[in-house]
Amino acid sequence: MMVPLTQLEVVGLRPRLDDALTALQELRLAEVVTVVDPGETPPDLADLIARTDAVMALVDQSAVGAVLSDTALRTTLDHVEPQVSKLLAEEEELRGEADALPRSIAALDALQPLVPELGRLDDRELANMGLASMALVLDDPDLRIVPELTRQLAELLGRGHLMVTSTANPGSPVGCLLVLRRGDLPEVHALLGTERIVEVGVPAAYAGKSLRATVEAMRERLVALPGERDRVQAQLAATVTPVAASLHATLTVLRARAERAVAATQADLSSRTFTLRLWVPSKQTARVEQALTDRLGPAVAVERLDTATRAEDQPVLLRNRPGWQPFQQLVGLLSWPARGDLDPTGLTALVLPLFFGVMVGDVVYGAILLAAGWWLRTRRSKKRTIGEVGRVMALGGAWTVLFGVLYGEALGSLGHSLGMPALWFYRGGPTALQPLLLFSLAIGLVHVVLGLLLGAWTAARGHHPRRLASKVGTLLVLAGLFGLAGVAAAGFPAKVLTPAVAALVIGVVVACVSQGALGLLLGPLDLLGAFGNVLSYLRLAAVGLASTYLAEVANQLGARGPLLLGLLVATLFHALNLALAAFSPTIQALRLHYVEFFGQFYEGGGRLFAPLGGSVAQGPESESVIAVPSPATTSPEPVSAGSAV
Amino acid sequence: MELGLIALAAGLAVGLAALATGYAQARIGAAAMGAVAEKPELTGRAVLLVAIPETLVILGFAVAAMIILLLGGK
Repeated sequence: MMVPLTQLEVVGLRPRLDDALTALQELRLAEVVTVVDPGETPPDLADLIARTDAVMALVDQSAVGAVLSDTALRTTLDHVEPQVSKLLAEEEELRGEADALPRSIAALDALQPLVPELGRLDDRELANMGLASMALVLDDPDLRIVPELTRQLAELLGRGHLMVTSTANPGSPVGCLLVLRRGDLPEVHALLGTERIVEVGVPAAYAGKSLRATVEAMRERLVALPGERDRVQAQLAATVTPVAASLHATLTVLRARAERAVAATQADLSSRTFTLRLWVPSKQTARVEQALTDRLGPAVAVERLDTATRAEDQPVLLRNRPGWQPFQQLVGLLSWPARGDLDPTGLTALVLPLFFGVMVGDVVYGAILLAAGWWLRTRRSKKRTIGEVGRVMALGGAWTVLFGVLYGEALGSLGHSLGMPALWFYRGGPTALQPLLLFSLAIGLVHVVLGLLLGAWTAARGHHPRRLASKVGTLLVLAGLFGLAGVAAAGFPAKVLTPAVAALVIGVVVACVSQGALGLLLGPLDLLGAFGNVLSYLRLAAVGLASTYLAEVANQLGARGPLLLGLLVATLFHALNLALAAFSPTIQALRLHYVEFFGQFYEGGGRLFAPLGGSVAQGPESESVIAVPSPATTSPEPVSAGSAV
Repeated sequence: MELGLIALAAGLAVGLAALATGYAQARIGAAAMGAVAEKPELTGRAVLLVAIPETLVILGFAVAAMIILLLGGK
């Protein structure tokens, strides 16, 4: 549900503005109303934050040390940054070397069998014979560079050279060994430079060695590289760790200063006073007033503004049960509710897992999902998202077990064939299609009608008569169609026929009139849309049947061939089905909510309440801007962005 | 023979609708992913837009179910 907000106007002495903002930051209950475009963080401060952030990104630091002054911080950063930059560059170089060496080794290694004698000669022995050698590694997947290089070398050197090429695998780099007269070296270097061909880099420590020795040295280097990188990492940690606690504390203070600086741009300043407007949860206004008075004494006046003076861009503050947080995020994935909207989190939390259960409906699959969800939810993890996914999975799993019992399914048809009774109907049976379709349509009708009722209520509350008439008209048409279908197929008494037709006709007229001048065109389209929305719930049956029959395929394949092979195949197929069952029904259930249900009443486009101090407390490394609310929903604890009081 | 034709018709009803859905989703999906890469906050709307053409295949499924129920039961 949405928490009502009140706008406060705070007037105080201009020199005390920063004190007032500090008090509000500590309280984390007030959002400064944006009256002009928010200013930017002062450049000096932004620079300090960016530099400190960059250093802190290198270590995982949670301890808090002494806060440094700006001068001390600059001195510390000036001391640390050059060392860090040097070590980072070294690490980058090692990483590049580790990437390049295997390719070079493969290319050069492939050359060795072609010229075994030449491969054993080092540079000195070659020089004695007036020769020189060059090793090249070419990226030439289309094999166009090598023939061109061969042609150009032949033009340049005539027959006075030897070039051997080889590649480890088709498409991988080509290794080239070039033996030439020593005097021709400068011309060949010039040619390679023109063609932008890079000679393979051989570390200086073993330059001049033979081809074989070079490859061996490269291999040794490759083995030694992880140790080198560990050494650099250790040096990096040793450089940053001693100052990390202080930097961590200072960074928090700097962010708070930056937030206050931006908030101060929203204050209306006179020569002696400031005026700030704040959004505050209505029940917390007294607490905010008290905090300001405590901090500023009589130099501050706080006034509650009436609703007429409220700005249109009022943020929304949502208050939901802790267990509904993942569903609140799913609502936000589409759009946050706007002012005057209903918060659909609760209904989503109740219905979405139910839809999941209707579609998957299998005792064993449900039990596995329930266990996996419970494990994800309860295991100690810093990632809140994983716990929330676990919660949704556990709820879906519970409904899946329930509908599995109703359908009599355990690993698809296996439970049924072993005698497990279906409390309602077995989906794999020859007569299951009709009840399954009717059940899906019934769910759709109830869900869409609920959405329309909520839409009518929202329209009535917001004084939108046309929207209200449209919802009522659609409801009447659906009621009329339901009555007619009941009379035609379900044995409703004939006396239902007249009211059903009347509801249908009146509904069509009301829906058309509600659309204004284009009513004759838009009205029927609107009604067709609502009818299509109900039909869309047939996906509950379709996805469910697909899951059932895939499980049936797994069981049929498992029953063929040797026992162990059958078990393996069946397990693989059931695992695939379970993976699909965890993904596809979630998307389908979400779509039914976003399109068919929310479409009836939900406008969206809102902005979450972002109290002063909230973003500082969470920090940029936080996973989400939506904080989990306090379990005690009435507790006057500070709130984070958009969460409950 | 008649049963085979009914099965073929039901399969075509779902299969052709699925092809149309796939074509629409491919076009929408590519554009949606581009949008999400630029603005991650559009993920929800991207999912919604990608899921919208699925109504086609659901209607195909409804037609297939009607073919089976109305003709296959005779």
